[in-house]
Amino acid sequence: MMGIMGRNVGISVKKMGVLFLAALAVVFCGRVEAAPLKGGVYRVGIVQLIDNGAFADMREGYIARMRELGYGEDKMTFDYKNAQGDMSNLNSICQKMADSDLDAIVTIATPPTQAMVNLSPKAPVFFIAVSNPVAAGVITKMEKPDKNATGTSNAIPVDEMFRLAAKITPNVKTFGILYSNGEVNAVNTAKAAKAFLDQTKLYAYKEAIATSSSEVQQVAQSLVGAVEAIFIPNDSMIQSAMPQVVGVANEAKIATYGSSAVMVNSGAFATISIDDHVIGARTADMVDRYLKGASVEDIPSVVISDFVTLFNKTTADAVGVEIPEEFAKNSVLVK
Amino acid sequence: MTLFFGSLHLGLIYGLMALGIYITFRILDTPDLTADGSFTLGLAVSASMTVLGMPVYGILLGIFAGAAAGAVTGILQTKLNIHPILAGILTMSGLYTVNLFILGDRSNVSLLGSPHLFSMALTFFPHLDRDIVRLVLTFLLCLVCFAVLVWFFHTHLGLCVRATGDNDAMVRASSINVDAMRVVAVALSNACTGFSGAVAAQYQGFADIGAGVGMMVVGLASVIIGEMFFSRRSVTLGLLAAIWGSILYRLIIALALKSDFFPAYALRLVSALIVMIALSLPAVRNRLKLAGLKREALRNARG
Repeated sequence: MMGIMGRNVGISVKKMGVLFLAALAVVFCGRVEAAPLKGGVYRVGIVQLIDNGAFADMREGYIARMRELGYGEDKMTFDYKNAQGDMSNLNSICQKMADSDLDAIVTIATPPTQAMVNLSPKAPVFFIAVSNPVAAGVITKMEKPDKNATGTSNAIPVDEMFRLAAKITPNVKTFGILYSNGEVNAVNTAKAAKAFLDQTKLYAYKEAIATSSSEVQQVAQSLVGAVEAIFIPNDSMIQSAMPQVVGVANEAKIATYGSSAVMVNSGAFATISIDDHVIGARTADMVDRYLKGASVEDIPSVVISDFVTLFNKTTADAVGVEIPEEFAKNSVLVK
Repeated sequence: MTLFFGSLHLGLIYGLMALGIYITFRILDTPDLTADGSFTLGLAVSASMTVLGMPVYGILLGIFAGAAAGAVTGILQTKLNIHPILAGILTMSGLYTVNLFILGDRSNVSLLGSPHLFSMALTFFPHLDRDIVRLVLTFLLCLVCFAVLVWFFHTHLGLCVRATGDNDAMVRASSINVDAMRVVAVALSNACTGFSGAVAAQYQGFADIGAGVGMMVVGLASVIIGEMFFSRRSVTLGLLAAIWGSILYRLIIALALKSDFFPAYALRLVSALIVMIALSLPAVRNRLKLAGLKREALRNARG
């Protein structure tokens, strides 16, 4: 009896397996090719690796600009996928995009861009916020895209940032550079900052590196007493833990210079940065040029330089810094 | 068809890791969480060697590095008596720094433009479709790994490892060095995981320090899904099931991505639900069978 039952189980499992495979086959092969454009509707894929405020702003900035340029919902649809932090799913998502008959593919930040370019899809790749596209290997020369990919670089103006600090917080001698070493954009920007400081000797600096969000608070605390100001590169982990950093820094009267509006909104003292919406919008302009007939090789990759200066009033009061009139006039104050 | 072929490629590449997970999870019967670290280790070694122009050595060294990482976990488990779960986590988190060191203090290394295994294979067979070449290559790599493991688990040493997993005490009584067997098994397991990472780096064209996050879960899910389709009677079938499960897991993810019913932020939940359904099928089936038996018994009693 048991033996027979056992065999029955085996067979039914196999049957289920066959059914399942048949279902998969139908799903994958059922749609032979994606339907041709209906009534001139453009289809654009958007790939994001992980959920965070800055990436969401970039995506929204991109979509908003496309709509503004006249690509309404009747003219352009978006196929947006998010790998939610799983690199193996990122590969599957990119394969899915390469498979769909898209008119353009938009990738946000470095890893999705690399994964997408590696697949060399038919549709051109337009990236948003790759801090160093040449080092990332998605383009050989910024001026002449050669891999059917172009887009925007969000290199943070570290020199401007430190010059701003020199004017507003003149008593600072040593800067702490606080970042996580797991994110390529953060590491690139930290390197640029160190190179600038090494060269100009404007400030001494001390690095503080967190490898997981649970470490951020203690790593920030390790800077107390050793530095008078902190610089935070474009780093999504530190950005998420900003309230902790600000809590530590404000108590010790240390001014935190961030690298995005999101950081200042969640309490960092100041930033000179690119508005994340603007980076997305600049990439949208490139997609528009392409759709109007320009070839990808003729759309150079650009480092975005639309900088805004932002201050957080609450934090300024907490660390006891008076924002000079000339700055207060030309910059955005939050809170 | 890129998605379908891509899912097969990824299934075979991560299947190498599933083979590794199968060794510790099923054969050794000891959980090992080193995978997230040793996957990235293989990835990092392979990427660094590829940039230096030695992709094949990258793969070999990736396997070797994975084995070394596994040996560390094994020694922590056996010689220092650290709980297996903690031993794996310790090695995994230590590897984060090692991996960054191997990548040259960079969190992301690009291989776009450097010749690697897949581009080399393509130059050998320029007339074949890229997807086919990639499929053949990943299939061959997986086949070699599978064959070596099947061979190994039928050697004397392999049998000792299996016996250790089955009955630690009895093996100890028969004067086999149980600790050494454990270290060998964990090293072998992570060699497979390192292999998987090494191939993945060259396949996806870049190495990122975050690539290993969640690998362990993927491997476990693959092993368990695979077991639905094969009996657990022999090691050969078990290893085959691990690869099969990995391919199926990728196809399931592809399916989830293909359907446009859910918003982008729901991917994790959707894939978790699909895997959950796949895993619960045997239980559901047994329930149904039991209900059927009850009905029959009732009919028999009446009749």
